[in-house]
Amino acid sequence: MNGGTQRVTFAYTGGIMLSKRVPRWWCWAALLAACAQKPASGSASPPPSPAQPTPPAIAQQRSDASCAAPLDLPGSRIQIRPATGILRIGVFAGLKDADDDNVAHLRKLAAEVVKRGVDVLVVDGDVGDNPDEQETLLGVLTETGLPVLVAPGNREVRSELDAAEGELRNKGAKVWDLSHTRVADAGDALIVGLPGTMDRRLLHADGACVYVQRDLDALAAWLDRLPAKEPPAVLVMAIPPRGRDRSALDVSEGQNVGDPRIGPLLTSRRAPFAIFGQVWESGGRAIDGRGAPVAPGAESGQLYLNPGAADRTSWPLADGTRVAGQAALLVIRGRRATVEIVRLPAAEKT
Amino acid sequence: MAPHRPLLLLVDDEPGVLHALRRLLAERFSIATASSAEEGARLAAMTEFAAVLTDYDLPDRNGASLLAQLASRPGLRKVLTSGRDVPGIEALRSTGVVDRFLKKPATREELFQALEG
Repeated sequence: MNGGTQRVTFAYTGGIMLSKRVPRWWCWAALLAACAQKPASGSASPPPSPAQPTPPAIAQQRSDASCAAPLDLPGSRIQIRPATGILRIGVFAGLKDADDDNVAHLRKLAAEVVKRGVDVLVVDGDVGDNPDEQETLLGVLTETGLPVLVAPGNREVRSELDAAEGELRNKGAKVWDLSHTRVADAGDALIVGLPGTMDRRLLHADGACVYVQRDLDALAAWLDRLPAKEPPAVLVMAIPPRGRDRSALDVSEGQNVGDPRIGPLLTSRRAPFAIFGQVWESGGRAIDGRGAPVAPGAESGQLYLNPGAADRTSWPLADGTRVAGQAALLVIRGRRATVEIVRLPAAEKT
Repeated sequence: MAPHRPLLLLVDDEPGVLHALRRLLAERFSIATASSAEEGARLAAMTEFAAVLTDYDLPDRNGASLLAQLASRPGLRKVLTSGRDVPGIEALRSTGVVDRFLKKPATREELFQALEG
């Protein structure tokens, strides 16, 4: 107690006080055996840490075991269109907030993409934090009348997103969730989803999803079993692969922060094309199988895309510029693809 | 339907400190923890945290440099803590690198006020 106010250190653990960098007299006064000063930042050999405490149950976050349906489950694959020789995918990620201004912005951005000619829309992560937001945000895309495929990331609680998508379906929307319908056969490509995020610590809410190595292995095995006559796979997931340089899809503040386990999926045989999100600083770029940038309009036999965040927030990019909302058009012809980054005129890079 | 709590990133290399902070703040935040500046930066790059609360003395580099690295991220509340005076704290505050500095020990109310603005 201190002057009538309960004062806590940052380490109140069941009656044992730990602290750092507090005056030694304070430690003595608190009878703290474990109150040793720690060395300044960057100094070598920090002292051994005390035993790792068990995290309190209240803060643990849970993933729904049914986040991703088995790929071979009956019903996990659906045909959404026949083959025509070309597939044009409108790609959105990071819809985020359902406030009026953002919804108006997203509506304009969607119109800008759709007017280029689109067969299907894909939404990759950050589709709102509750069913109302999700219904509003996804509704912006379903109101185009196009099929909409949703891949949730680290924010969406499974049951809530199911409810939002159900409401939209009740209104006649053509919306599928790539958590349940893992494979959307779009005729000229198989759009395959892996929902969730790579690390439990990134979950924004109980009931949001994490994928684990088992999910990656199952996806790899499924891709390996695809007959050669099948169209190419387009993988959709929020987390990008761990890159090797500043051109990659996962660069934030100079670091490559993606998931190193994804790389083996990205081959010409397994997933020659893929859509990622989450790392908005690297948005609006595409790379090929060697990690080299793919310029807008250039054809590539392997093309991996981070469209960037679609919402209206002015976001700093890894190249030092800023963009307030962007999306992409991914076009697949046979086994080659091109990409176009789509921005509203007012959102061009500054 | 329970409202979603904002996601908070705690960075400290003392497991006991992280444990205590987690208990204290879980009432109003979902919480992720990291034990170094690099680990914190990597997590912060992967999602949009509402706030980050970092100790100044971290094993790889200081917490102020982590907050400087994250300074351009829209909407992120940045709180620095230390048991001692931090050199240049006024400049860090005036340039927006740090939104709040909390000298330890701090009250629960001070923590929530610093993190929620």
